[in-house]
Amino acid sequence: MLKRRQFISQLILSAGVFIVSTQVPIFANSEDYFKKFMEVSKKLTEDDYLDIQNGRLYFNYFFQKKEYKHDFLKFLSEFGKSSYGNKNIHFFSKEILKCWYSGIVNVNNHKKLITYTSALSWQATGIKPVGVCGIFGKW
Amino acid sequence: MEHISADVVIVGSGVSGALFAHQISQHGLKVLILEAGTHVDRNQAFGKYLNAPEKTLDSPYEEWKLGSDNSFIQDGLDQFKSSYLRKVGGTTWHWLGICPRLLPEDFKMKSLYDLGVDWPIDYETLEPWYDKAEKELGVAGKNDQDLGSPRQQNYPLPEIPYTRTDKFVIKNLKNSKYENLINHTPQARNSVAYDNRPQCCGAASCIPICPIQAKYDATVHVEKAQHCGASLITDAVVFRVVSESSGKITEVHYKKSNKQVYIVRAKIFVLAANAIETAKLLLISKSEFFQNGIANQSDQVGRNLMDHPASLSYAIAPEKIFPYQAPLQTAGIDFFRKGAFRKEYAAYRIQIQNSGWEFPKISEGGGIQSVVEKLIEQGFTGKALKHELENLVSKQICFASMLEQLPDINNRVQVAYNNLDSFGIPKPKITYQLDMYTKKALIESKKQMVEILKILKCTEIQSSNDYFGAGHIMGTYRMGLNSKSSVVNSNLQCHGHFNLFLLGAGVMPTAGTANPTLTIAALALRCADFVIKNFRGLHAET
Repeated sequence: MLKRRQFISQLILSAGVFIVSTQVPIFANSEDYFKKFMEVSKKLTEDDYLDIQNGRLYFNYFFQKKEYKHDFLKFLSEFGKSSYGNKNIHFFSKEILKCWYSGIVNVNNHKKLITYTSALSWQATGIKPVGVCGIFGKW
Repeated sequence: MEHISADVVIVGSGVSGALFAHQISQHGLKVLILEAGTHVDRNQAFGKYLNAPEKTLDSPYEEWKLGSDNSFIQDGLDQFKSSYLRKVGGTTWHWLGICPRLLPEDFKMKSLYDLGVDWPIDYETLEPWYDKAEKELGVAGKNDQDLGSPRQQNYPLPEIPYTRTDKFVIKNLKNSKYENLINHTPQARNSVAYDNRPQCCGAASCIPICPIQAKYDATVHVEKAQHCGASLITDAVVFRVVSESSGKITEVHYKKSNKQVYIVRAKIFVLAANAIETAKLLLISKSEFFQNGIANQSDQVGRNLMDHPASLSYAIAPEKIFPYQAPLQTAGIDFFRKGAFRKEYAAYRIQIQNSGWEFPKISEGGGIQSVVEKLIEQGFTGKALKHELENLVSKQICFASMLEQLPDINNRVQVAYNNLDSFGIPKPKITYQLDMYTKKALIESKKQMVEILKILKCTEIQSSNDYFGAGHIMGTYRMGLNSKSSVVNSNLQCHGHFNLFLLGAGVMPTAGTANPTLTIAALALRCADFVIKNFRGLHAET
């Protein structure tokens, strides 16, 4: 089990050097934020081949969720620049990872499936998604 | 009201109703099946399952969730945790397909252990019907393994091969007292193409749905019956069985979801709507002649409700065993199904699960999802997360024990007259409690499973605190020789209603430790044979 300090150092490793900042730099448009989201996702997952269509759906989930939007944009702006010392980075890092690994987002307290077979859990474990046919006896 | 007539009307299209219909319809009789639910489109249901964020027993069949809290009322000290489906094909849509036979001892619990009751038939009487049932369902099994139930014929299909998990267990139990106790699990799953259905493809989603019908389900025999001339009416919820004062059943009434009521007249009536719904139907069919309901002179209808409560122990194996890739169960330990200990506590069968921690972690999103979330919460990211997830999930191991439960007159189905379903029909009310006989076995079985996990050098060994339902709903209209203490005779003919037959696990006087479907099938085939041979007599009598 990782302790908080280890978690922070892991995150630092994946996010690069942090610089303290209280400002929220604003990107020109949502596409810039999306690009940043994918960049952040790649750093968090250490996976350079993330599915961009799924990524857009995860991004939209955070971007369109009223109670998340402000903090989410702040997170994107600060990730890799800002100190980890705020809960925002901690929270969104975990939430983004959960989306990629489960393929599920939570909309109005209802879980919504974005992808089943492309959820990173399957790739990570090397297990073919349950429900998908394999070969008889190759188990 | 519209009127319909048939020679034989069957209420329910699950495994017993479907097999019975197929047998009878081959003899030129006009057979009508009434099914409360609708057809399942396999592709659509499978799609629903894949797209469901929470993959539960009901996720492919979401429009009707019988067996969940909103379907029957619970009124007991313990929860009854099993469910059933209203669909063409019944609950075989989401069964696992496991098909052991009962043991000869299971038929003689009273004689051998002074517990429960004896069956009015013995194993030898049912044996040829087990054989026939195995052929109908397409049971795959290993011929040279003795599971305690003597057999005259080979299994119709070769066994389903062991998984890596099974092989790991077998290899590492060598030189222990558990050596040589692992058996292939007989199951109605195609190890080779059979009966126009394909070989299993290892989708590993047997529960809740097989995508290719390699696992038997009762739609096989519904379709065969229809091919032989049987008619099927869906969305037909039977809510009344009508009897003359003589006991002759004359008609059943059903409603469709548009509330239209229909009357069906027939010569022979067969109720095969599972042990909860059939019992409820008999109880709500009260009349001036039968004030306790139909076939209930003994006051046994609805009583003696049983399941096979399940306990779980799970751990991390010392090596990768790759669960989640195979039929959910391919091997087990049958050793604890019999022995003198049955005087003291319940028998049980240990199943080696191929589904990792899916079962014990079902309330946390399943065996993979729960681990992912935990690791992320602990701070894992990037390659460390992938590595740790792969390491933990590929080593997940789980054993399940399914326990015998004794008949208890206080465990029962009654009618919740104040609680109506969407058809305006009273819901079933369940009163249920585990007794010490089963509770002792819950503790004992966990001890055994934990001991085995320790021998296997597993770590992080845990056991579930609670019990799980097995989906094996039994006992509520039991068979017996005495009409004062049972509901049907050994031919499954109701005492006092000679043209009314009851099918399904409701007729089982005791539960044993075999998943009941094969026994349900064998009994249905035997009953059909009786009706075919005696139809003229039964008809004349009525």
